[in-house]
Amino acid sequence: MSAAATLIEVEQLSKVYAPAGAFLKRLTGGARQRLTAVDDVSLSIRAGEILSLVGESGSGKTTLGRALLRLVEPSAGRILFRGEDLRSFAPSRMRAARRHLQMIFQDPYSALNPRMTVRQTLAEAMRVHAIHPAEEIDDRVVELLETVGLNAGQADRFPRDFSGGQRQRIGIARALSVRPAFIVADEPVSAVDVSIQAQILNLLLDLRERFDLTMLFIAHDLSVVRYVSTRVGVMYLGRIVELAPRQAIFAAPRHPYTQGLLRAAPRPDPGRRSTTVAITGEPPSALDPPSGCHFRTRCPMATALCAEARPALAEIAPDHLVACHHHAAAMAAWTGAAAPHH
Amino acid sequence: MSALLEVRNLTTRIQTRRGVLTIVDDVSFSLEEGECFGLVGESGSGKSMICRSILRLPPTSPALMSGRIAFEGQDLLALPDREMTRLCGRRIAMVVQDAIAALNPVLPVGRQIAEAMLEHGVAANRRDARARVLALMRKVGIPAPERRIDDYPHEFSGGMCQRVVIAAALACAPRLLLADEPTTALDVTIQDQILKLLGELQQEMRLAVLLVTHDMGVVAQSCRRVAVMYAGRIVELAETAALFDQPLHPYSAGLLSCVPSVDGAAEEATRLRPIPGGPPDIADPPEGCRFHPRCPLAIGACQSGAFPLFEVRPGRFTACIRHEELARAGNIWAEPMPAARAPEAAEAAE
Repeated sequence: MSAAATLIEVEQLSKVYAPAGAFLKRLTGGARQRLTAVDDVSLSIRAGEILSLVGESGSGKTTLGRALLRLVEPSAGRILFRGEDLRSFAPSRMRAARRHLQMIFQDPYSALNPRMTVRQTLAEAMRVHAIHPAEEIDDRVVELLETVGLNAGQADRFPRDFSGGQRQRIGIARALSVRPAFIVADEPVSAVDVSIQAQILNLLLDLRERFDLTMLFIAHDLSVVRYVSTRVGVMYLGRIVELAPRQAIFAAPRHPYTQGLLRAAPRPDPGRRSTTVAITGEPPSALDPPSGCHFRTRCPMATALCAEARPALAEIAPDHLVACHHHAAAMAAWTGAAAPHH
Repeated sequence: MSALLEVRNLTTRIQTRRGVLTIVDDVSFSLEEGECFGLVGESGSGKSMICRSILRLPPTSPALMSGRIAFEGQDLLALPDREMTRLCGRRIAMVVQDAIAALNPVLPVGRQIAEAMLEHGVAANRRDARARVLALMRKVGIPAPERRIDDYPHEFSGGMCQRVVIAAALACAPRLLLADEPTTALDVTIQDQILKLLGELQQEMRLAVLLVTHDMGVVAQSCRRVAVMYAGRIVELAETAALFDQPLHPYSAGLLSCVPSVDGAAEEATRLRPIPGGPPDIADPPEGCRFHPRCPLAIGACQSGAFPLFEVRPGRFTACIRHEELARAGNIWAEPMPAARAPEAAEAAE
């Protein structure tokens, strides 16, 4: 563990959905189907860091991010924020706590109310949480707009007057309006164009420094994750399979899935074309995941053991956690194969 | 080599509520037999509309297009509708981004793959078509085709739907495949599989592919040559390796360097320098070079006049009159930031 204090401690968090129709099926005697979106996840988020969650669709990263803020109610586990379990909070206390826990959404179009001006959007949360006297709110709106690179003259416009990148800036300003300690950013750049992406990423990095923010950054794009993260958690079918500082994830990945993801990422380098597929097959259904290690059906190193026992997420090097029975062999294979990018 | 597809001075306008907009503006390029050619650009750059123009699909229509699109020597814009229908799906096929939407939800996938074969008389009868469909499904990597041929699209994953769409596109052994962001909706490991599948098919069937994408990584992996589009125009056209080695348009250079990378230790300490501003409104584009309001190399001469592509060296085209300055300046978009993780010094001053 590094010296940084823990801001949020997630302990054995799970989110299980019973799919639509499950109730009827149960009445008619059918087997009950359950979808475990987040499967017994434990991790700590350290003050001041950007912890990224990366994984493919269905890996549970968004559900985990939302469960952490109780935007979806977890099925089990604890979320300790500054030492107190958010799940034990009564609704009124939770509402007050939300001031410290904000979210930036993926889709800058649907995340803003089309009938509210930017000023109304930004003022709303400040009013709800009574952070500023009413007469100061206008000044604060202007300040927020300038902080995210918009200008005061745009305060009375509606979302439709802004481009996707600008709307994402408004979403960021809204999250900042209540001076939160922690922000979950759910794929904040996947809906904006490539030339705008870097603007938003740099803005987030600047704001993190300036306001001493801690962030959970959810993304599927490894290059983006590499650019912004302090640490990275890799998810597969609801579980964290590897969790390590950014440098270690990208230079010395130890889980075969992380290694495959890195190999699969298209690189802007025509000299390094490859014709071999990085990971064969498709993710199995979350309704019927494989026994033991969920990744074993696509894993080149899988053995009988992988079907029998779920590998624990264990610290195999300082601050480097991996859930793989064969992590030593996987690491040797990575180093031996002269990883495609080193 | 002879060109399979030759697009000359193509201009495509579409009718919208805001009036007639020019989406593709005087674009020229050609594709050789068996070549994978990339069209790269951001949303609204006109790259998808070029695909639709080639097939004359809505919202394009020959009446609002000018220029020439020659395919195997025939001008597609002058072709009667009936002739065009005979080419579509037989000699030229298309794969789109949203494979699930591209499939008919109430028809088994096998019927959909067979449709073009029966329509164009490539398969003699239903039994023959079924045998060909099974072979195609195997070829595009759908496991256990015998069991899956009568399944419906909703029973397939997104990646498998894209394989079904590719199988349907290849059913009549076309010469040209228009692939419009074929992997954008897919996860990275599935994208990797589909790109490699397209590469194999292209080799095996000597298929020419026009690959439309916004991702320079996809271009690098798949394309022999590439055209970079900005606001309806091609701003640079070159062999992929040459363009990545030394872009000759500030916008291409920006696309390459404003995107973070998954590797390269040197970049650890580099801060991305974004392209400032945003793409122009296509209804009211800037005069002169359309990129000049965002360009760090722009001078007075960039603000007016026409900016056609010109050949700098054999096979290398740019629309930038400042390409020599760009080449001399090195990376105009890179900004060394040793304190990438700690820009507080600048911020604290505020």
